Amino acid sequence: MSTGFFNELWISKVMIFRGIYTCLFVSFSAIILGTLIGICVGLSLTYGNRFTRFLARAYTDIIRGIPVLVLILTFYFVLSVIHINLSALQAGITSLAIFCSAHVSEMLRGGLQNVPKGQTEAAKAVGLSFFQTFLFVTLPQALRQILPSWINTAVEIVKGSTLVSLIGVVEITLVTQQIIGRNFLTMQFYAVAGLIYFLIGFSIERTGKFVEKKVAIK
Amino acid sequence: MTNRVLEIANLEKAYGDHQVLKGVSLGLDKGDVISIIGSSGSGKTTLLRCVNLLEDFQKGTIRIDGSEIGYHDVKGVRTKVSPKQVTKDRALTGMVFQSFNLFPHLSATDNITLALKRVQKLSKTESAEIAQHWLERVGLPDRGSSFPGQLSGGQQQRVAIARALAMNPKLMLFDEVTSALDPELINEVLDVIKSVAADGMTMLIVTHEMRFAYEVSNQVIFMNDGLIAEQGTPDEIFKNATSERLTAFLKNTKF
Repeated sequence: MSTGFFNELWISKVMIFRGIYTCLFVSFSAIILGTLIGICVGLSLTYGNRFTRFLARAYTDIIRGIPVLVLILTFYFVLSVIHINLSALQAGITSLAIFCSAHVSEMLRGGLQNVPKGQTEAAKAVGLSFFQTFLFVTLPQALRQILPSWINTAVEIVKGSTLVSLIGVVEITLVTQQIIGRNFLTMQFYAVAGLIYFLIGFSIERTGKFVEKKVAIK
Repeated sequence: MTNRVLEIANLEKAYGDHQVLKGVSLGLDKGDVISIIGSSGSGKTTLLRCVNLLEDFQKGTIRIDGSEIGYHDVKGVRTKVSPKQVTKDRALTGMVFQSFNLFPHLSATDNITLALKRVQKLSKTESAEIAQHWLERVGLPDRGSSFPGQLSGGQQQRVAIARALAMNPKLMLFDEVTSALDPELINEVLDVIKSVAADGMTMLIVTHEMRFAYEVSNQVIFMNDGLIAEQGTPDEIFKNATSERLTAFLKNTKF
């Protein structure tokens, strides 16, 4: 039986690697895109006027209150009603990116507001402009502070990427189901899938810890 | 008028209904060191923060080297100057804070060079030389690569003084700079300030260290309830206090 498993594993290796590739592609695209959007929203939350703050706050709260799966299904099935036809891959990446952005924006706001007021005052006192103060004084401190939660969100996105299998994106989970459908080695191949997810998440966390130590304030 | 570095006229400042400064006028000539004493809530710190434009004020003018800062006249209406001009006006003064406010993610040297590079647009090597010069000046020649968290409170405050001085301000403002320090670290900071004063720097100092104020200043101001209650030489204020309020205040402070 175990030779059967390894044989099946060998046969499936290309499928599995493609699945891993798709998973990483979806996750990292979503993380990068989501972080960029999140930074914009987070800045509006922190420094915007009443109107932009309200919009950013509404966006963040609404998105954070919706399950990722609902977001994914919405982007895939509902948008086509208004003639925006996204492919399964596009819909998956977009919905995960939006989910990610809401978390990043909230983190960034918290991080920026936690930088003591004296820091901004000292920066002003030495003659830095508002933008320079942000870029060289508050942002570097905020980023260090939000790094752990940002890494955490990245891992959540990787785990959340399993859900795009439901709209037909052939990532690790769907690949696993396809393989099992062929050879019925349910336990073994779900174990393989679990192991792969663990390794991806674990590597991200280790890398995050490493960077955290590197940039830690002494 | 020739040597006037700072001229404050009828400064009034309120937070909502609460009037903090009720018309303060004060002048500093080049090389003057004026200490401001008074109980907390008397408006001393607010006065200093107004000079650095960290606070808005409703009435009165502040002039540095003859030109008004912070506000100007637009068709007869008193208007705040643009953020860009505020930044420029602010650069005329150097401020040192009670809580040091060093940038924790930057080394001592980088704390000093940041504004040199970004505001004065000096090269990396030039600003590093200036930083080293001022670090030596405050007695920390070999701590340039240390981060704020690796320095004692007194050392941090000396770096903060170096950071302000490196910008070559016309006027230095010290806001209770020893209040957050352990007693044994106070003197190293006060000594640095004294030596900078001896070099002819114009200074406005808010302090609770009466002996220091007595030794370093040529004028002492006693503030009470948003007004300058007394002004005089250190001897006049500390040795020959006559008014009831000042005597009561001095009685409650250590000299």
